[in-house]
This record gives sequence, C-alpha cells and structure tokens, in this order.
Amino acid sequence: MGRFLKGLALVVIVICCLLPFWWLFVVSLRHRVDIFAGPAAWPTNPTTENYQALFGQYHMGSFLINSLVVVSVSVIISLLIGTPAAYALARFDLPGRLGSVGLMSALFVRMVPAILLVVPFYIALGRFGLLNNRLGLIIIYTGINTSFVIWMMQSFLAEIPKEIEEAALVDGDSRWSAMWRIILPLAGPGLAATAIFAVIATYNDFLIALTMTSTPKSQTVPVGISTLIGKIQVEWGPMAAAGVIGAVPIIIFATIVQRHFVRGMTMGAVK
Amino acid sequence: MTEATVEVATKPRRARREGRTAFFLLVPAVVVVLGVVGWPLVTTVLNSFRRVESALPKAPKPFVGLHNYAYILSDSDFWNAVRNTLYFTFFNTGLELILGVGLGVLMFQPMRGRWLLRVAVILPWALPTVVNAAMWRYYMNADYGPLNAFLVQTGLRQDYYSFLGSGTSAMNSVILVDVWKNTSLVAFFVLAGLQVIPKELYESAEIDGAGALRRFWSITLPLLRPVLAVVLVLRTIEAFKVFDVIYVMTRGGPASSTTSLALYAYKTAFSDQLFGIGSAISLVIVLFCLSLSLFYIRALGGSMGPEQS
Repeated sequence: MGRFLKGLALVVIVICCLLPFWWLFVVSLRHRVDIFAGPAAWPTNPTTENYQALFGQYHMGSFLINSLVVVSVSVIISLLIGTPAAYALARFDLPGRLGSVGLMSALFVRMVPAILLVVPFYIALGRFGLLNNRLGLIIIYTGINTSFVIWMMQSFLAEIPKEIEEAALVDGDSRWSAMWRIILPLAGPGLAATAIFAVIATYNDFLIALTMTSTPKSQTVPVGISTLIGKIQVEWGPMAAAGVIGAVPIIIFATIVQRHFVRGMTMGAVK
Repeated sequence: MTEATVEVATKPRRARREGRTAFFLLVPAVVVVLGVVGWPLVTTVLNSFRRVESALPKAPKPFVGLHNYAYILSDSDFWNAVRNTLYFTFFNTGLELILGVGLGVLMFQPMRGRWLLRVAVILPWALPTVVNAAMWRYYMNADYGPLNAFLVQTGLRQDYYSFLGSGTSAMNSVILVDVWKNTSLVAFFVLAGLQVIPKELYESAEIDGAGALRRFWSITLPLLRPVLAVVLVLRTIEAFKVFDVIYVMTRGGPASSTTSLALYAYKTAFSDQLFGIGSAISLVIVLFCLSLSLFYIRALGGSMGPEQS
C-alpha cells in the first residue's frame, strides 16, 4: 500500500466514524422547524431548547442517574465476587473437573441471549415487587457480569507466574495475604480491562432494561432514548440531544481507561 | 494444575486449608451466577413445555409437552424470522469480517495519525446501539434525512430514497448500520492478532521476493486464523441474537420484513403474552448459536478458552 493510499484510507475511515456523531451534535442544537427543513453541516442559529426539553419533560436526568447507579453498583459487586472465584479457578487444584466445568459455564453464559432470561426475570421480579426498580436491574446485571468477570479474570490471573506467589507462601504468608498483597496489584491492568468491558456492556444493555422498567423512575439511558421514538412521530431534536448526552459518560470513561481498551476488547483471543 | 502448586500443598493440613479457602472464594460467585443466570435458564426450559399466558406468579401453567415447539414450527412468522435472522447474520458477519481485516491491517501500519484512527474507530462500537440506531434512523429518513441530502447533492442519486420503506432495503440498511458499529470489534481483534506475528517472517518473505499481496495471503491470513475463528464465533452469536438495532430502526417492519428471531420472541412473549411459546423460541436461538459455534470451532480449529496457552 502506498503512503498516499494509506493516508486516504485513514482520512475516509475517521470521517465515516466521526461525521455521523458531528451531525448528531449539530441536529441537537437546531430548532424543530430547521430540522424538518433539511440538514446542515454547521449549527446555524443554534438553540438549547432540545437540551432543555430533554432534561425537562423527557427526564434525561433520571435516566442518567439510573444508568450510573445501576452500572457502577453492579460492576463493582461483580468484580468483588468474581475476582476471588477467578483466582480459585486459576490457582487451586479443584476436585474432579470442577475447574474447567466452572470456566465453561462462565463462557456459556456469554452465549445465552438476554431474550432467554427476560421472561423468568420478569416473572421473578414481579413476584418480589422489583419490576421497574433499580435494585431489580442491579441484581440481574450483577449475575451476568459476575460470570463475565470470572471468565476474563481467570485468564489474566493464570498469566501471572505462580513463582511470585509461592515465594510469599514459603515466607509464611497466607493465601489471603498473598492474594491481596501480591496478586491484586499485578492483576491491575486485567481488572481495568474487565471493568471496561463490563461497564460498556451494562451501560449499553437495552433488552433487559426495556422489559424490566416502565417509567423514568428506573429507566436507563438506552431505554429512555428509545421512548423518544414514538409510534407516529419521532422527537428528533431531543433525541439527538439525548444521543449526545448518552454518549458523554462512555466517552469520558473511554478516555480515562483508553490504555487498557484494546486489551479489554480482545481478551482471551490473543496471548 | 502445575507441579509448583502441588509442591507447596504437600502438607495435608495446608491442602485442607487450601480447599476451604477455594470453597469460600468460589461460593459467592456460584450462588450469584446460578441464581441469576442458571435458575432462569432452567425456568425457561421448563416454561417452553408449558402454557404460560400470564406473568402473575399464581397463574396456572399447564404442561403441554411439545405443543409450543409444534406451534412455532408450523408458524410462518417463525420461519420468516429464521430467514431474516440467517440473512442478517450471514451478511452482517461476512461484511464485518472482510472490512475488519482490512481496517485491522490499516491500524497496524506505522503512520502519522494512527492514534486518531484507533480512537475514532472505538466510538461506534462503544456507544449504545440505541444511540447509533436512532441516529441512523434519522439520517436515512426519506423526507429530510441528511444521508439523502448528501447523496442527492453529490449527484449519487437523483431523488430522496426511502431506505427503511421497503423490506429488502430496510433489512440491508439495518445490516449496514450494524456493520458500521461492529466492524471495529473485528478490527481490534485483528490488530491484536497482528501484533504477535513475528516480524522476521515478513522480512524473510520480502527477501525471497514475495509481494505485499502474497505476504498477506501466505503469512498474515494463515497466522490470523485462530483470532479470526474466535471473532467469527463471537460476532455470529451476537448477530444471531440481534435485537436493539432492529427494534429502534424498524420495530421489525415494514410488514415483519426485518423481524429477527429475538424480536419475534420478544413480541410473542411480551406483546402477545405467550410466555411459553416465547421461551421455546428463545431456546431455538440458543440451540442455533451453540451449533454454529461448534461448527466454526471444528471447521476453523480455533479454541475459545484460556486453556489454549
């Protein structure tokens, strides 16, 4: 490939990826009448009315808070529960084939479509009065994320040489203190990558949140955005604004953890 | 596991303590995963053999044997959804794989602005599908969509086109939007795979006079095979479960022409309140996914687990 061709391909791809989002931003700043008149490349005669409507009558504030609460609580609990289990699978000689059975079932969970789980979830949450409730969502996401954390952290922890830990064990440390003092700091990048994937998957989930929630009291960002698409009419202005606002947490998050991104996306595929 | 662990654990007291520790480490995770995923899975299997027409806990759930499965197999909507899902999965995964390999190779090239490329490519993948889909639904609008304006102004089309207005066109549009979003994932897998191919291979091939294309066919592709196998399985499973992008862009229309199996299961369970039949459909999706993955793993010889190292 010539240098020129490479450069051209780069520019075209970057434009393909970013231009739609720029347009989204432009639309979010336009008046209702202007939007129906036709597209613009630049926000002429900008307005904040879409954002005002979004946070006023369309409850974007509660969608954001719901998403942040549900995502952070479920991911943190999953890391706290899943990492020790991953450690046990990576380090201990478990009786029988328990170790590989555990791993395979953690992988299988990734294959299970959410649609398969939502009917029982719906019935069970209804029984406990947790439908349209953030706690209900947190419980579901914690379960799904935990199996994911086990799967990813197991392969990260297995990569850490056992000798490092054994030195500590010989020196009289207990397993617990070896795990906390020695393994956890080394597993830092792995934890980060796992957290990234879990956060993005949970924040982006649509089907589960759609079926388990029904009012802004507990609807998450994706569900909230979908409510702006009515049967007959779509509120394009507020919806574009919602797209921009809904993207902000992920962009901030992705910028902070950018170093671990590629690792997180491709974990398990490449050594 | 390895000899080293066994050595440390030779003393029986230590071994007993290790067993207890492992138990305490595993129990919370096992309880959570079994409770939140295992139990609903079993319930869905059971429900698929029952008539469940209410979500109320006290509602009767008579056992109906294979009736739900017989019902969906004789339902033309089911076969329509199967056709749509297979079409979506095939073209979606195929396009993503071809474009993803190209993009991954490009991201691997040393050049100015590479960081910008890597950052830009992450965005469509990282943002919620709902945001992407809603955005493209607007761009593809037949009356005032920017995509139409763009095509007309650049002379690529004479008039505005209703992308989501007819069956085939709507399906292809949905596929393209999903390709736009998920090609990044394939590209990043390819990038990660390229990073572990030894550079010496390329150097000696170059000395032997192999051209760029030849090097790609004889070195890059064969060595990427395990990575491609994994990403193919991942993407096929995801594509087969497609729901969000279709729900937001077309709601399965026009006239069920974009209804996927997941959407069909969702509508059956939640719009028609036929939870038993909905459960049967979602189990069909799992069976499809499982057999497709097994087929790929056999055919391509990739392994999915950390055990491969």
